[in-house]
Amino acid sequence: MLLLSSDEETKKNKLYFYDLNLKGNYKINDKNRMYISWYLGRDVFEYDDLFGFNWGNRTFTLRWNHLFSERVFSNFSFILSDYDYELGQYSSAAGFKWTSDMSDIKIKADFTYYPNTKNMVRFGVNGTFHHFNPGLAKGTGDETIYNELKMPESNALEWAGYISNEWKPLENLTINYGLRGTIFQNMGKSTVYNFEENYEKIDSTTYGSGDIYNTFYGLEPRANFMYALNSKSSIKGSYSRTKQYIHLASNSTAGSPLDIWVPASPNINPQLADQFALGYFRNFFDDTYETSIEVYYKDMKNQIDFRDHAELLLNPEIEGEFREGNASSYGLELLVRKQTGDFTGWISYTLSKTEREFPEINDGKVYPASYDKPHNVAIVANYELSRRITVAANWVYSTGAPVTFPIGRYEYGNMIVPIYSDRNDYRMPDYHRLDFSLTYKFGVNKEKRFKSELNLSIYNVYNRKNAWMINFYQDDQDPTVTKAEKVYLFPILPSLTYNFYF
Amino acid sequence: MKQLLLLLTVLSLSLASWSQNKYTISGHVKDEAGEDLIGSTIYVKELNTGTVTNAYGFYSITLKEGTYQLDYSYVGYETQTRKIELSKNQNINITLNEASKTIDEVIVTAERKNSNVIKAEMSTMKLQAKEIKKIPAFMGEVDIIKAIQMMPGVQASSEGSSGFNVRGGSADQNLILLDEATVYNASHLMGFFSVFNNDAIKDVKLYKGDIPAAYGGRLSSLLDIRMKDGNMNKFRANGGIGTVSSRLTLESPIIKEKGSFIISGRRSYADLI
Repeated sequence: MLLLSSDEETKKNKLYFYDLNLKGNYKINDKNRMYISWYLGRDVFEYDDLFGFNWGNRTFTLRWNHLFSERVFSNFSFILSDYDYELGQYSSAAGFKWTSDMSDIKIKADFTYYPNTKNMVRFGVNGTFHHFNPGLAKGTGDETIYNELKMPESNALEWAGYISNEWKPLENLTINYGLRGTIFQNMGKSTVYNFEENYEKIDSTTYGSGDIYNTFYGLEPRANFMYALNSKSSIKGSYSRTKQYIHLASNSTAGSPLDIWVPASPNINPQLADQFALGYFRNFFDDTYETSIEVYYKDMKNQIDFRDHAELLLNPEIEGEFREGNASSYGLELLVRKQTGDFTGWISYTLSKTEREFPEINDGKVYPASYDKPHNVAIVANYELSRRITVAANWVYSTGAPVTFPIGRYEYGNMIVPIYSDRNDYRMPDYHRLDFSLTYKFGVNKEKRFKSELNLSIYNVYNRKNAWMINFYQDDQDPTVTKAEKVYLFPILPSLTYNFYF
Repeated sequence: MKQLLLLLTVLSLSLASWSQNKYTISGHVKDEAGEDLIGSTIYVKELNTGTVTNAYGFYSITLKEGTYQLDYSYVGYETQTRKIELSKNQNINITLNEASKTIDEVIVTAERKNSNVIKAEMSTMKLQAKEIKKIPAFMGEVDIIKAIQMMPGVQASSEGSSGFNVRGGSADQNLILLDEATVYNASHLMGFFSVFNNDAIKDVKLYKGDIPAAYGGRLSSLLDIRMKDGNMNKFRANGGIGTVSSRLTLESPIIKEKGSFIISGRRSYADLI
């Protein structure tokens, strides 16, 4: 494990992160208030001044709350958002630098109109300018051995307008109905590769700066209802349609800092989902215990996957690696929650199934999504033993994730070639883990301003070796024997934190 | 047909009520530090109806002329009751006090805590930063995303990952907003920690479906993270020293009860490897 190794060689490595949040607000008068928020976060990895890799997000929000009248609340926002990374080797003549970034500029106006106790109307408009610079790698030294490799930059405009009304026709019935309209436009300057049906590149088209070369439209109805059976229980239902115009190109389920976002384009359709949900909500013991049961069904179109062995990094023709298909998910969710008193926490259970079907993946056969884990349990508990001592624990359980395994092999010449199962045909072992913490507070009985606490957290209390990966390899002595090796990440891990307040 | 008639009658009644003498009670609901309380409930006893504060702690409710009792409540805070003679528009700002444990039992009866039942909103779960802080922390780092991963309908993408899957959606189908700005990559150190410093956060709400029409652009969920505004009344500092990182947060009024700021920093140690 990287974090805990004490190898001499790894002492040359540096790996750290930092982040900074800053926010200010000012009330000009009863009708106007300004907010400014800023975030900066960065991860830095360095190897002995030879190799560097850093990545991070930046966000900025400027908001102006304005009351047009006591019944009309509005908020105007100016928002910037950015994610970028840079890695390189700079010191030698044969150095290189690889950069990638994406950034958004967004303006937004949101209004809420409160005409009476029976209606609440929300409406607004917003526009976002996206800039994508997915990847550029080039040599830095005088005698560079690298050719410049550049993925085409592009821009997009994303517009949205919406209106919704929360309507209470009866004392025990509320109906929320709304509509969101979206427009997504690809904008130059950019180069778009054209592909034939087998995803081989034919040619490319270059668009000038500011040229709109492709437009998608979408209408997204959203609705829900709440019908109160009495003051303790209700039935709720909802329908929503959602659209997504930018996609993350990622080879792994966990994601990596190198992953890039790719916009919908002439080659990639926007994703679309329709979700239906129904729920029963019931409180017990004077509303101290909140419970709910929800069932949902979600139908997803134009889902994204990638061809086998897809090249997603520094590939100018990355759009040719995308494959589109459909997915569906349905499930049942239970929640029991207690938010007040000495004892707080929740228990959640989820039963679900998620399947995908892509014409060009798994021979067109339906396969479980790599995050299809039918059973999920989480128990989160916190107990204040006394004013000084608080203990907490959580236990999580989930069915093992689906995985593709080699199921056989054949010899080709003197090579042994594995034969793989259908996609996600096997499952990893089930995952479960218990965490525990104890917090001891100092100075609770004194009227002093300075207070502090010591927290002991133990991760993976019963030291379960949860499989993170299973590798298969040939035995050194006998290549006809294939061995499996389980890799796990974290054993039992205690940690201490000291917090202070004044 | 009967239902349709009923619906039309109700609709015309609600329209007819527009013409009567109506006044508006509006304002903000805050806690003792002057932080806006998002989603606190305002309940009008006489009409058995109410409203909730928006993301800026603002509420507005328009009623016919008359006398009303308004209950202001928020989970973990003492309920406050106001009797109001409504004959003109009124601005009422409320400061709720955190419920101390000793009187917790008393207020249970007075408070209207069933908002989770009667709100026209489902498939959501909200956590306050102080609840997240109570959960055992992986290597001492309190982490919003790790708390989200334990909600029903949400799964961790893999162990030690800041990715999560909501109702069968992929990890890139979550819209993560920090004070309304999109965060494109929520991971520190390959995902072992998330980019959100809990000390700077007020609360977090996850929508697994039934996403309000105001939000879009992602298929599966909205994770709405709101930063603290900063203490409006006095200078406050807090910090921590952990196994992985150290933190420091300062908050202070700029002009008392008019403006404030918060600055919060966190840095892990350089020799983590």
